Amino acid sequence: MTDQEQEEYYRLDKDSRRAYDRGKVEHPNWGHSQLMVYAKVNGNLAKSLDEGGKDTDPKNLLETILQQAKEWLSQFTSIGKRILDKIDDAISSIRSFVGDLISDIFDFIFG
Amino acid sequence: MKENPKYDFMIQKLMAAILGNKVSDEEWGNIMGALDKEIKERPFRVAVIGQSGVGKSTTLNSVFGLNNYTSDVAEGTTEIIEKVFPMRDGFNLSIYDMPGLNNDIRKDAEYEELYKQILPGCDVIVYIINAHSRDLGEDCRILKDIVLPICNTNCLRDNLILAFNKIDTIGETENPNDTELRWDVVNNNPTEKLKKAIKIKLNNLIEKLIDEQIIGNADSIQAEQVVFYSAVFNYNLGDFLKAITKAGKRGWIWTSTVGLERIGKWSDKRLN
Repeated sequence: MTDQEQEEYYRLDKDSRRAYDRGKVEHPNWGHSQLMVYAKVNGNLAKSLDEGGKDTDPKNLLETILQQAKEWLSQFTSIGKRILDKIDDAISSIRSFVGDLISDIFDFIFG
Repeated sequence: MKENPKYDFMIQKLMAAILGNKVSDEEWGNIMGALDKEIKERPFRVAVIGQSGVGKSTTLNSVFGLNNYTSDVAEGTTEIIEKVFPMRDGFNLSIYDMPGLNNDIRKDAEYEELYKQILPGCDVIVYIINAHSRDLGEDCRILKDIVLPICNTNCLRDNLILAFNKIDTIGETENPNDTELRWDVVNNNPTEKLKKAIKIKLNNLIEKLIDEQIIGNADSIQAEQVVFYSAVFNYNLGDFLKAITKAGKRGWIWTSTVGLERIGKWSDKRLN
């Protein structure tokens, strides 16, 4: 494993890391990127099943929406870096907000 | 918050709350104008691909909130019609219901042509696979020979979602007589025994997709683009929603205009 690969490996959660190790033993011909995708898919599956297949974490979803919307907005020359930075600040605030009910998060955002 | 008589969509409300009075009127006009145009002037286009019986209609009904949508696409057809569904406030959802190839290699060229015409205009391409499939052979062939090359050529790989439907039926398919392998309809959850069966089955399918280089390589799709769910039981639709949000350049438009308002109302459809 290269240093970067090792870093990616240690960033995996416990279930995914276990899947990575299992994949490495069962599929010695697979490379790091194949083992990573195997680990992530298995990790996501285990998490979803353990959490009972509920709706996604709204905080995480809001972050994703804002991140994607920011990337889309960044293509317009009329929308400056200052605005994109404000969106980044909002993403950080949402991430650090304690609570995961959509109504609480909306109260937090909309004041 | 910027004064505005009415924001139609959640993303506009979010931007107003985040940017508030920190931007000039001109900047604010640019942002709102760009958002309004992007949402209203072009429908959100979704292509759904899958062989007969994979649950395309139930997926469209549960994931995209359509009301009693019925797939009427016959196997072997080479004409696909765009169906437009008004969602709200000028935002439209457009569906291309694509037929599966049904093991007919002779028709590959015709389908490839059809897919080449339609897929580049789509914001999200959902390829549905039956999670209890014994063999992914035909799906792997279609993905590898037709769908992925088109996606790679047209920079659409990020738009693709590989959706394994019907995880609720994995146990019954393995052993129809074992009641512990049936879906727990009261709690809308797999039983512990079924959970194990689902993990083993899906693990095998994932191994196959990696060996076939459909996932896990530089020019294949990523882990977040693979979702497992049951459209009939509205189970694990959250991962699907997230995959849509991250899809391509416009996936977030779906979630921030319609999907976000349904958080908590999608899954957990208990039948008691």
